[in-house]
Amino acid sequence: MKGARAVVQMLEEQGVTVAFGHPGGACLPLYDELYASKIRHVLVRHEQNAAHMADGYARVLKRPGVCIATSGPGATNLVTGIATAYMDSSPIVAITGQVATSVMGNDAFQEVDAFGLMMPIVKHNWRIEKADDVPRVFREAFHVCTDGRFGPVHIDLPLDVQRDEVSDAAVKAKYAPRKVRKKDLSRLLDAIKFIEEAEAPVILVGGGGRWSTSGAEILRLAEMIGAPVVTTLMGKGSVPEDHPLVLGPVGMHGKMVATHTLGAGDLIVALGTRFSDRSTGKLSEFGKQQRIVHVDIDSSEVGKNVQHVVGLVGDLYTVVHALLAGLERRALSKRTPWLDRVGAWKRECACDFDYHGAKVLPQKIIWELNRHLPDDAILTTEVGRHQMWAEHFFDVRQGRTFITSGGLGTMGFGFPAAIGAKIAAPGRFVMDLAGDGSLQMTMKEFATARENGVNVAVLVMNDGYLGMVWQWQKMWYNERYSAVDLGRFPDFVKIAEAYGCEAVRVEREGDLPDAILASQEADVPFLIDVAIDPDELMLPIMPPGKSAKEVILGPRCIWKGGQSVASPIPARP
Amino acid sequence: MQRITAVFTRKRISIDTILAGRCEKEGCARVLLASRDPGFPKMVEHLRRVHDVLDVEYIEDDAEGFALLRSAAGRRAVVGKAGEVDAKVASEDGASYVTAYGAL
Repeated sequence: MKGARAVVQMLEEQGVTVAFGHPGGACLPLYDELYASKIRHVLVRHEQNAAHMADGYARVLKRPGVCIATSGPGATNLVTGIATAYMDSSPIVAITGQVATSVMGNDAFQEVDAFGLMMPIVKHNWRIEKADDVPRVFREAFHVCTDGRFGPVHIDLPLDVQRDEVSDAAVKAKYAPRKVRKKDLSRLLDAIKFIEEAEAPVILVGGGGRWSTSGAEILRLAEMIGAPVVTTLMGKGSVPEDHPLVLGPVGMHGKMVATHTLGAGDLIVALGTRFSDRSTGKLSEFGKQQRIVHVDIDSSEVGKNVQHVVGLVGDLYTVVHALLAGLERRALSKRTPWLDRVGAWKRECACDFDYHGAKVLPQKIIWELNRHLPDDAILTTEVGRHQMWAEHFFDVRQGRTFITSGGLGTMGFGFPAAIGAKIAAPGRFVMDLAGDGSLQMTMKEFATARENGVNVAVLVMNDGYLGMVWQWQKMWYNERYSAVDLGRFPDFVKIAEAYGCEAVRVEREGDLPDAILASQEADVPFLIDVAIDPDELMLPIMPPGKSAKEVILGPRCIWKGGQSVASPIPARP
Repeated sequence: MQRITAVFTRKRISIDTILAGRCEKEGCARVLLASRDPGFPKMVEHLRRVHDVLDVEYIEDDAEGFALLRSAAGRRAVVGKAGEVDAKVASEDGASYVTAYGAL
């Protein structure tokens, strides 16, 4: 069989049903085989979005998404999407065509060193040099991208490899991984001792909580040890936010109650998080008063950003179960005083963000989304202030999913990710919450959505500015607004209509519920363009490089600095 | 090799010596890296993450040293403990030299 046929057969063997891609000269044999295969191919309008769609698909199904691009510009266009997936540990398999091995290295037409380009942003990549390697590499690639910490992998597939014959022996050969992932639970007893001794434990859940889908176990642990649960941006949605112990996101734009509780406890049980600067604030100030138990699937994360931790290495599901088993027979204190104090903080932070203004306020939009999105909705976001409003106010209840680009912060991620998510879960309502700046980076994918009958909704918070940058320039650059004014164009309603989609413009807050409900009824992709008040700031904000004590609160914030409850826990030496 | 050195590049840790070659396992290579950088020991876990790397071991500093010297008197090699080699090289004023460190 031909190399290209073997590729398709390997994809089918791995259970791939959808591939996102864009053809080109160097992957024509592969596309010829896809023509006759059962794999559904979604033609994108830009390769970057193929990677984002595969990413969104993977985040919903927790199994690899596949994207395909040609050599040269196809490969370079994929880079942003793959780097996004790498930073958020999302399993995608990227396949790029490549010029034939005979001319490789000669600056042939559409040749770029894709292998070298991708190397720093993938878990592993391969350049296949003979057709017999195709089956082994593909099996290995799918194994690597979901073994241990998830991550993208890349396969560079030269033209002649796609055309050459693959021997039957190579196809039949079984793949056996050379390396076995190590668990390290040697400090489990230390961790249990810390948890027992703690008077005020807090559980911090990161993206690992979502990838391992162990929300139920985490809540059991929280209930057992009497600890409130806070999440990072990537961990948002790993535990249902309507649970009384779940306080919400911490970090730069997190909830005050979550950030304050994290700093006030005496033990942090960190589950699947890498202590990003966006969630910890100033690292030297973080965790000074606390003991830290750090659970991560990736041994290199333990002690990377925050030192002196008790590290447990392993899949979150396994480790949390080990902790549960270890703690089960012990007489744990109920920690009622601590939970009472946290409960009082939670009340102090429970603002009513049903804000009214002459222009629509962004918080109001999120408030309406909370009310009107179904309980199994998927909300994706782009990057910017709208993302932070969503992080802060959106309620990821049981069954809802929140997808965002946290690590790389890729503007334009949300819309293609929403398309990928809708393809992964056609029965669920998928909405992309966008800003006008971000959406313009990838709005060409309306064509993809419309052509493929992928009925996602897009809600644009339109302020005519690159709002996040505008806000930073306002707060820290003496209101010197450099290159942030996007002007009045384009008309998003007309853009959507030009692509055969439906759209409405909302200028009064009273029209929001109808628009949101209409987007759920539509038979085509639906866009809601909401003109928001551009002067509304995204607050609270923890200034970059500052600690949790220096958070700037918003004018309507009712947080009193946790004063309603006295006696902070004394610091441990 | 590129994947391994890329990890050091990204973390801004310089490597003093790289020694790589065939080893007892067929199809595998053993790589010895030596560095005086204080962050060097912490790299073990980061290297383990690299898919091609089968295992990583950290050996503390009783390294063997090796130097090639070229002076007016001709070329010669110096072998010994790292400190001794350094001392010998320092005593050869003005000679061109290259040093390497490693431990097994």
